Amino acid sequence: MRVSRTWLEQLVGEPLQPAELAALLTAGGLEVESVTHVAAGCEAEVAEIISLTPLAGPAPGEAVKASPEVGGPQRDAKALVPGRVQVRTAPGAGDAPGVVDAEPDPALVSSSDSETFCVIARAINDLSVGDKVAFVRPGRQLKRGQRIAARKVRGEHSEGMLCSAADLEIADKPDVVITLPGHAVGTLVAEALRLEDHILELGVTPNRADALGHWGVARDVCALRGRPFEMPAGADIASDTPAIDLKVEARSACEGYAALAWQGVSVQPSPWEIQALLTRLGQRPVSNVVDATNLALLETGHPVHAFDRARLKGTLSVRTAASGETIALLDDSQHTLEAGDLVIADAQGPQALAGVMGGATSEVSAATTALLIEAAHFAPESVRRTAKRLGLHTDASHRFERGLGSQGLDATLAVCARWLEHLGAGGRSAGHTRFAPAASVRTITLRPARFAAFMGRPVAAERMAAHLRHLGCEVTQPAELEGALKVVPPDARRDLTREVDLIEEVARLEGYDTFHAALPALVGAGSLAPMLRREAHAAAALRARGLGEAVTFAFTSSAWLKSTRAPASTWPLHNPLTDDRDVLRPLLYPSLLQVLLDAQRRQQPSAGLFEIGTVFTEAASASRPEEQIHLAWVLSGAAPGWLDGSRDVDFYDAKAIVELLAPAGAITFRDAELPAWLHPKQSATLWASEMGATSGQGAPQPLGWVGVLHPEVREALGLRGTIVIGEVALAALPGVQAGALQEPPRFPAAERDLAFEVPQTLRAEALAAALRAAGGETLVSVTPFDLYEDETLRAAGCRSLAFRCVFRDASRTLKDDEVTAAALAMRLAGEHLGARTRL
Amino acid sequence: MGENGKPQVSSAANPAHHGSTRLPGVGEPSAEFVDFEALAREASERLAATATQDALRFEAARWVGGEGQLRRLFERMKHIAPAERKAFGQAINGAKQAIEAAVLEAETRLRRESLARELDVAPLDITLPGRRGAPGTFHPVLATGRELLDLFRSLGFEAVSGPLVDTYGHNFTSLGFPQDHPATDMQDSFFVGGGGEGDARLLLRTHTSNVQVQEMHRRQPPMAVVSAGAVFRRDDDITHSPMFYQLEGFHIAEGISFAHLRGTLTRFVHALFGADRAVRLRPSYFPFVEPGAELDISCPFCEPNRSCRVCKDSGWVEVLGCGMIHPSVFEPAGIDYERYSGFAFGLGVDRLAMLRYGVRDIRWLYANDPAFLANFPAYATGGA
Ligand SMILES: [Zn+2]
Repeated sequence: MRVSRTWLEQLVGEPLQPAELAALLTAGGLEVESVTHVAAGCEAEVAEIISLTPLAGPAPGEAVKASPEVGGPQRDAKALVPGRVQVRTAPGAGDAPGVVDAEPDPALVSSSDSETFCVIARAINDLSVGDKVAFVRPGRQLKRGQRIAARKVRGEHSEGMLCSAADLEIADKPDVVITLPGHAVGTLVAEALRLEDHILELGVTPNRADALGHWGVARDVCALRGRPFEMPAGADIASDTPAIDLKVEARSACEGYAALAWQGVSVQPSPWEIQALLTRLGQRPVSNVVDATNLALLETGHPVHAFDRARLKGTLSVRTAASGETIALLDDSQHTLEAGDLVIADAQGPQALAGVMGGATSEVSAATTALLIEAAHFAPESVRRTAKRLGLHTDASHRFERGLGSQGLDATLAVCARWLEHLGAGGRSAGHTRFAPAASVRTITLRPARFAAFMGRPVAAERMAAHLRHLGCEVTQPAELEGALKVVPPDARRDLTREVDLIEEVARLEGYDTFHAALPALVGAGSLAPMLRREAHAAAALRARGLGEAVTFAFTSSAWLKSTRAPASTWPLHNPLTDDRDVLRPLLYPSLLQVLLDAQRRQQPSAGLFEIGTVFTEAASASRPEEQIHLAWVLSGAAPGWLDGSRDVDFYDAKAIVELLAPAGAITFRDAELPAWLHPKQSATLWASEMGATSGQGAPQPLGWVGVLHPEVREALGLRGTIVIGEVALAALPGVQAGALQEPPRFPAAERDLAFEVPQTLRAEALAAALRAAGGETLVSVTPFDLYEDETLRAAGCRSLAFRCVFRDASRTLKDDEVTAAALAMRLAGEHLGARTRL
Repeated sequence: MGENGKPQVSSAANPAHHGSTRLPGVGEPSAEFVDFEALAREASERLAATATQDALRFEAARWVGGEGQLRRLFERMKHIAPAERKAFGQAINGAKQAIEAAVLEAETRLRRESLARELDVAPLDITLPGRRGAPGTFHPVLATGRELLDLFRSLGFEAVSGPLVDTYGHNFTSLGFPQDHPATDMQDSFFVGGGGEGDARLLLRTHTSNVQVQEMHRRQPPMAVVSAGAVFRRDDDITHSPMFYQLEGFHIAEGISFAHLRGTLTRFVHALFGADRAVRLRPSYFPFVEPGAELDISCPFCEPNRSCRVCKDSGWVEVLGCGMIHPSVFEPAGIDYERYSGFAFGLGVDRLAMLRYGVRDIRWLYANDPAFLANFPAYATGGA
């Protein structure tokens, strides 16, 4: 919300420096997001027109705007009459110290000492000799950083500029030259129209409905400075006659309704300074009547609506709409209402959407002479529901949704009436009607001891009482409360309902930074949940292996899942932002393929990537998704390393990742149940080696899979090169078992290498298992160390595979012939399986 | 070798000075004289001429091995007259010592030559890259999150994780958000299929504060818990990503006050940004805390006489939201608000990561562009 520093100054009754004010408000909880200096450096002055000469042809403004390439002035000139205007101003006017903030260029100010200037104006339609206009002489600034030069306009020498309402940022009216009747020639326009101001943009939190008007902000300023705020008076609105026949039917949604009949108004534009004020506060000036209601809103924070009294027929009722009723609103929109929408209706039907927007039928127009002005309380939930459903977020609905009071409605009407008088709308009160049951009184007990314990520092009860009184609370200290305060918050502070609310109010007025800092006693051991530890370790291992840690969104697109052959998600989003993120992901790999595709499209060299993230699957109960932490990786293109010749990544690169995550042998790789997105011959599923006899609950599930991306999927996605991927359920992977410690050996090991020509049908692991079984007790390990294939071998359906076998005894050094004998037994075991020993 | 302190063996240092010895034939057709000096000299010359370890082994075996010359001569000893046997033995031993010394010398020489060859090679081009390739990379948001968790763990907080999909009730209602309140506008949610009506609706959590609800239902105070993870809101622009990362912490015990909130978070700021950072708390609003506050730190990026983009010249940077836990959060969890009190805080891990690494657009964080990730080589983070 925007507030004006000068307005606050009037309300607070003392000067407010912009920076200090901003710091004060922010420290008090009304965060100042920005401060804008309005009309800074404006050197426009009041000048009097001494002659007017129309120029023939298109408006100079049009001609200047149209660039030569675009061509002739074929645009609609709206019958603007350009002209030469001679103005008179006071010699030396505006030369007061501090106004000219830089030395003007001498070339531009040849005539700055003279009293008359000749300006070529875009439109002189509405001007007459003797008018006072806003004029910037050559060499002076329209605003800071925008200096006006003498220049040629349509071949004519033009000295300075006449300012339009838009030039001065008073209103969005570029064709209206400002006139300033009654101001002395030479007066600065910024002074005459009180343009210079600071606008503070406040980030008002949803609990502070009270701060959505200048009164509320001024009250905070006063309270933060340790004194009460006095609301300025409104006009006299008292009347013995009722304003209208009023019937409040929907009492649960309307706590109060006050209506003021106002007769004899003349609707016209507001004075320039008021238009300027509204404009810089973000309101569009409309007419004095509408502006008065907006000013009452900006001042009190409470919305006010004016109906054209003559358009209202019969009894005015506050009721809920019947389903299917329609209303045309002020913004020319048409809406069909639902039962439950709160409306203000007369005999003809709904005339306003309560707390949201007025209706077009009873809109104030130039012909309006009598008003019915409304200030009311509408329930937040009701306003919010309707405004949200119809997509109408208005100044009124914004405030009602946050909870306004119902007891200050007459004061608001009085302020509106004051503005009507001030803006020259005329008229007088012709009736006043009020439906205002007393609001329930909330009494809250505030214990000073509780405050001290909660905030870590005591504040004297008297001081707390003073703070709360400055905010409008009634505070007493009855004896029976034993030192505690009895507090009745003002009706408009609906956010103050319990003791801690008052503690916060006192604390913020004391200043949060006046409370000291202390460390609490430790209550926890600083532990890390086991799964988080596992994630951290896995990520560190993969990073050390040269992979990049990726983070992708938890949602993906159902179409992408389909093209990656992933299972369909069982968890759609009801309200996705875009179609390409419409479901929760069931697996991680599709997201990584998307990252890879993006990288390939930008010709980025691909390294390996991994992600540890949540996937969403069907739970047994299925009332909500089961969330599992998965780890997925993708490798593509050339394998890392260059000295040994370049090669593409392959299955074994992807498999190597699994070996970083779980103890050797704990995972068995099978070519069963391969997922559809993997190459059928170069992929594996992962299974726990220790299946246990307790596979009681259905078939065991694979822990994950690894392999080459199916070439058809690769083609369909537009990916290039060899791509290997893998994914595991991290929690299901066998971890390191705490067991007997392997002691460092005391005796040397002996090694033997066994090389075989192995038929393609014989798996290495089967052969190694046979070798292990035959190696005897001293055999420690059998590890493949060489794989060799060539044409001859392939033709024979074979490959060459060599194992390094390590033997060791814990209690002695093995003898050569013992080892040789064991190796021989192993060789025979290999041959028994069909492998042939190579020498 | 001499420099290494090993004994230098040479014929000069250990001369075989025995003269030739007559070998009288006893029962032999001829009496031979064996010239042991010449024999030793010949052996030494041949050993000195060897060029390889293999040649040396072969040559040494010819003279002093089990089948060597000296062995054969030694076997003749029994045919020698007892009177001359001693002289013969001395002569043969002299020759043996001389030859063994020559073997040792040759070994030393060959080792020296071999090392010299090993060192006398063309220099490598040490400017070529290492064999393995580029290092892995860490993700700036995750690394920052892990570091923050570690930091709060050092203050006794237990690190846990919470569900990403939760109920409306846990995400909003149990945290004191009134149904359909403007406060929920700040957190426009993604709703998920399944679930029920009202509080049972499923959504992607909009903040990590749902962990508070989870933990308060799981255990009783005292507790100090911290949790980091992904959260989701329906926003997508230069400063908002529909998924981002938050960290939530809370401490509930008897006697916890606003001073403890201030103390704990000041410690955190000093650990992360340096002890010279000023900390400012100013009133703000989150439905689940009261008093509620935003914590600002004095801008670490301001430079004298230069405009600062990070703090927009305000001198302060917003770091986190915090406050004393609201009674409406305690009450549904059955925690006695008169007995226990607690503070809670939540911060944007992304925002901290962006501040730290100078990331201008939040969307860069989740695009996983390889060139972007290359800014964060694995070695640049201490295990985090
Ligand atoms: Zn800064």
